Amino acid sequence: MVLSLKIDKKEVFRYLGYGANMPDDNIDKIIGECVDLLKNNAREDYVYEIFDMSLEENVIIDGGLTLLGSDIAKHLANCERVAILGATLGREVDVLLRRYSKTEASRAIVLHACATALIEDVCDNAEEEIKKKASENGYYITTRYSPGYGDLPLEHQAQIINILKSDKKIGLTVTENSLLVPSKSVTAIIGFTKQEAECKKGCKFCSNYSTCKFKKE
Amino acid sequence: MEILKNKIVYFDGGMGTMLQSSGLKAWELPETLNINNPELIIDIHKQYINAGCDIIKSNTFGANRLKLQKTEFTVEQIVSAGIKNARAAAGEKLVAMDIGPTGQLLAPLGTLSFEGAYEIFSQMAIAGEKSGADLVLIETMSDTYEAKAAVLAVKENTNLPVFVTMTFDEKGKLLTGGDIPTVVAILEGLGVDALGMNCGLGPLQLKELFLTLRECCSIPIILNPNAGLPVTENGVTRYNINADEFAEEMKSFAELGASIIGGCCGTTPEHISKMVEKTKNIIPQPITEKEITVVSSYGSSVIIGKKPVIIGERINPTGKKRFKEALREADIDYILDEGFTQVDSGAHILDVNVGLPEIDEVQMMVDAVAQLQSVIKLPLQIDSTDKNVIEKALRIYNGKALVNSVNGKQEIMDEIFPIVKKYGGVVVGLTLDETGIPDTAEGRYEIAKKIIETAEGYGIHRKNIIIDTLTLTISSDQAQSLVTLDALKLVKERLGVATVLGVSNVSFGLPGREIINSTFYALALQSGLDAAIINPSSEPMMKTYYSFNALYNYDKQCEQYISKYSNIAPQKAIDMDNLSIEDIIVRGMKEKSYPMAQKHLETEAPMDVINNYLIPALDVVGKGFEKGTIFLPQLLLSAETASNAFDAVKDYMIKAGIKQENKGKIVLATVKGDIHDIGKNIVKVLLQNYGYDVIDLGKDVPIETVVEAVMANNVKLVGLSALMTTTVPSMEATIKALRKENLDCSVFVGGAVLTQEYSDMIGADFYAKDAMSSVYYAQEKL
Repeated sequence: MVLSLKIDKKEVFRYLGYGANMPDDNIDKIIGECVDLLKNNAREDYVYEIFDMSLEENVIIDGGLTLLGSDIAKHLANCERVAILGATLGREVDVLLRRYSKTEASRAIVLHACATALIEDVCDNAEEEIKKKASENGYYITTRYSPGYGDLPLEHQAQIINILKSDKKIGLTVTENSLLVPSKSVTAIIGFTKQEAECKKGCKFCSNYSTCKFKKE
Repeated sequence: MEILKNKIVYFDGGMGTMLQSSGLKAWELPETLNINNPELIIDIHKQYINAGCDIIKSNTFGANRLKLQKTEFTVEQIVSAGIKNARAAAGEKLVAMDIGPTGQLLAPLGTLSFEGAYEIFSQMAIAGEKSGADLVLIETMSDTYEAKAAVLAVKENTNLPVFVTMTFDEKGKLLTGGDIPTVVAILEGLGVDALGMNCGLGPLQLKELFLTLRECCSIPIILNPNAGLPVTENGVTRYNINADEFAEEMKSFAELGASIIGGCCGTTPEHISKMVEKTKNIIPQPITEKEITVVSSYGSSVIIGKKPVIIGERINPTGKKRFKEALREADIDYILDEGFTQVDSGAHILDVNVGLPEIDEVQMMVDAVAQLQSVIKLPLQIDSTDKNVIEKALRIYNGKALVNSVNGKQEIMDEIFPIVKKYGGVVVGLTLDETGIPDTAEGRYEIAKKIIETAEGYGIHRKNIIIDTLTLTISSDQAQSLVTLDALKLVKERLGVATVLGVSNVSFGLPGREIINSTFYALALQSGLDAAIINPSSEPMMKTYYSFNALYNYDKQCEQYISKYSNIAPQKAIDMDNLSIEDIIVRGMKEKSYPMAQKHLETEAPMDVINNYLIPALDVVGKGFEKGTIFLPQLLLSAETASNAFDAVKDYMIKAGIKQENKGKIVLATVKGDIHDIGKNIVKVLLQNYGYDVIDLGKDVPIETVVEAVMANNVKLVGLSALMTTTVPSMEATIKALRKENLDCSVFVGGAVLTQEYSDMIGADFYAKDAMSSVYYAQEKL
C-alpha cells in the first residue's frame, strides 16, 4: 500500500517532550535524517474488516468475539457495525530502532518519535477510508479505540490479529504477552452509527489529562 | 519425486476461502473443522481431486501449538484428523502436510526463539508423518528465518520430502525485506526439494517475480497464486480473476518452466480444473543448475565471481588489544560497532572471527552472529577453526553464509563438508594440506582441485567452493607473492571457481603496509581475484577497489568512482581552539570529544580528565534536564559525546597498561515478555557515562537469567524496565525471585506504565521516573 508519508514535526517535538519549546539545530537535523530513514525503510500498511456487532452487557462482534470492559461498550453505544483496523510500519523500522538503540540512543529516541508520528498518520489515512465507506452506507463513525484504552484489556490483541489475519496479510503479529510486533503498530476499533456522535476527540476527554506529559493543550 | 519427471504436477486450490463461503466466521480456526465437521473438509478435498489435482494440501495450515492453545484440541489430534480427511479424498494421490507460519515474529524482534519455532514445527511435522502424509508443504512464509526453522524441523524429524513456498509483495520482497535471490540461496542451501511462491498476489503480479526466480533457481519451481487481488463488495471479499483467466495465466507459467502449479486464496475447484485442462499436455522444462556463487543474509545476497567483492576483516581479535578486551568482557556492542563501521565503509560481506583461547568461542560466535544479523543486512563469513563453532553458527544463521574455511587436509574436509551440506553455505578452500603450503602455483592448484572434488563427493556443488591461494609475507620469502597470483590464475582458468585472498598479510613486517597492500590488491584483482578480505576503512585499499571497478567497466559511467572522489577536499583540522571539552559535551559535538580528550591526556592523568572535565560536564546537562531546559534528545547526545571522550580515556589506559576501576556493577534488563527496550537503553548509556559497569541482559529476559547474573557477578543494584501493563507482573515476579534468594541488592524500576504507587506495590526499592533519577539512585547506593 503506497501512502504519501506525512510526519508531523510538531507531533515529533511533542513526543520528545519539548512541549512548546523548539529543538536546537543539532536535534532538528537528526529529526530530518530520521524522517528520511523512515521514508526509505517503513513498509507502512494496514488492513481492516467491517463486522456486525451487538451490545448487551458487552460488545459482541461477528456473533462470537466478546469485548470486555464497560468503556468500549460506552464508546460503541448506538453502533450497529464496527471496523477493526490493524496498521504497522513493518519490520525494517524495528531493525533500525534496534540498531540505533545499540549505537546511538539520541537518534533512537528521535526515530521512535518520528515513527510514532508516522503510524498515527497511517491510522488517520485508514480512518479516512473507513469513514468514506461508512458514509456511503449512511453511517457516521466513532473515533479510534484501542486495546489498553480505559478498561479494554490488551489481551484482546491476539483476537484482533486473528480476526484480521493481519499476521498473514501485513505481517502484524502479537506476542504471548499481548504486545504488537512490529513495535510501531496499532490496532483499533471504530464504531459505525446512524446517530451523529458527539465528537469526544482530544486530550481533555482522556482520563490521564491531569498527569500526562504529552498532552496537546 | 518421480512424479515430477514427465508432467506438470498440480496442487489443489484455496481451502480458507471455500470454508468462509460455507459460513466459517473470521474468529474461528478453520483447522478445528477437521474434527468438528470432517464431511465438509473431505468434500472440498474431493472437489479438488475431481478437478484433476495431484497433491492435496491438508487443512493444517495453523495447526500449531500456539494457535491451538485456546481450543480443546491438541496438535496431534488436529493434524491426524486433517491428514485422514485429506487421505479420504486423495486415495492414491498425494497428501501434503500443510504447515503455515506460527503467527509470531521470531526473536529478536518478537519473543519466539528460533529453537522455539523449531519445536513447534517439529511437533507438526512428526504428527504429519505419523498420520501418513506423503510430503510436507511449508507455505505462506514471509520470513526466511521461520522457514529455516520449519525446514530443519521437517528434515531432522521426518523422512518426508519438503516443499517451501514463500509470500512476496509486488516488488518481489518478503515482509522482512528479503528478495528472491536471497530466498533461493537460503532454501536451496537447506536442501529443500522444490520451492516457489504462494498467496499475496495473483498470477498477473507474479509474472515478473517468476522470471527472477527462474533465473536463480536450480530446483523445481512451485506456484500457488491467489485468484488475483482481493476486492471487498458489501462486506464480502472476492478475488478479481475468474477461472478462465486464471487457467490462461497459469498456462504461461507452465510453459515458462513452473513445474508444480496450483492455487491459494480465492481459487476454487473450477480454477484448478480449467488450469489442468489448459496445461495437461505441456512437457515440463528440464531443471538446470544455475552456475552462480551466492551468499546471503536474511535480506540481501551477494554474488561472488562477477565483480570484485569486499569481505570486511575487522571483526577479528588477531593483533588487537581492544578487541580482545571486548571479547573477554562479552562486549557485543563493540563488535556491532566494528560491523557498522565496515558497512558504512562499503564492505559487502563481514568476516566474523571471535576466537580467543580463554573464552567460550561457541557461545560468543552464536551471540555475535545473532546480534549482527539482527541489525546488519550484509551476509556474514563464519570464521573459525573449530567445527562446533561453525556448526552452531550455521544453524542459527539467517542466511547462506560464507564459511572460512577448509583446506586440503582430508580430516578437515571430512569435518566441515557435511555441516555445509546440511545447512548450506559457500566454503573457502585454502590451498594447503598435510604437507604444508606448496611453493609452486601448480602445487596449490592441485590442492584446490582436490578440495573441489572432495566437496562434490559430499554433494556440494563446485559453485559453492571459493579457493584461497594464500597470501604469504614477502618480507620472509619474496618470491611467494607471484606464486599466489599465478595460482589464482590457474584456479580461475582450469577450475572455473571463484577466488578469495586475505590481502594484508603480504606486507607483514614492512613499513608503510598499506602501500604494498593496495598494490598487491590491484595485481590480485588483475589476476582474477573475486573476493578480498580487507579493511574497508583503509583509504588506499578502497582507492584501488574503486579505480579497478572504473577501469574494468564494472562501475558504469564511473558513477561510484565519481560520487566517491569528486568532492575530495583537503581534510580540515577540527577547529577546537575556542571550545573547552565541557562545551563540546554540553553542545553534543560528538566528533570533537575524542580528539579533545586525547589532547588532555597528553598532560593530565586519566582519572583527572574524567573527574575534572567529563563528569562535571555531564552534571551540567543532567541538571538542565531536571529543570526542563534541556530535553531528552540533547541529554543523550551529550551522553554520547561524553562517551567518545571516555573511549579516548579507555584506549589510553589499555595502551598504557593501566588497570581500570569502575564504580560498581549494575544489572539492567527489560523484563520477561516485554520487548520495548528503549527506556532501558537510555538508562544504560547514562549509567555507563557515570562510570558504572552495566551488565545489560537485553529484553524479554527470563527471571532466572536476572537472578543468575546478580549472583554470578555479586551485583548490588538491579534496574528493571517494563512498558506495558501486561508485563508488569513479570517485573513483580523478577523482584520476588531476587528477594527469595536473599540477595543483598536494591532494585529500581521504570517504564511507561509505572508509577510510584505501582512500584511500591510490586516491592521495588526505587521508582526511577526518568533516566537521570536512576543515575542519582546509583550514586546513592553504590
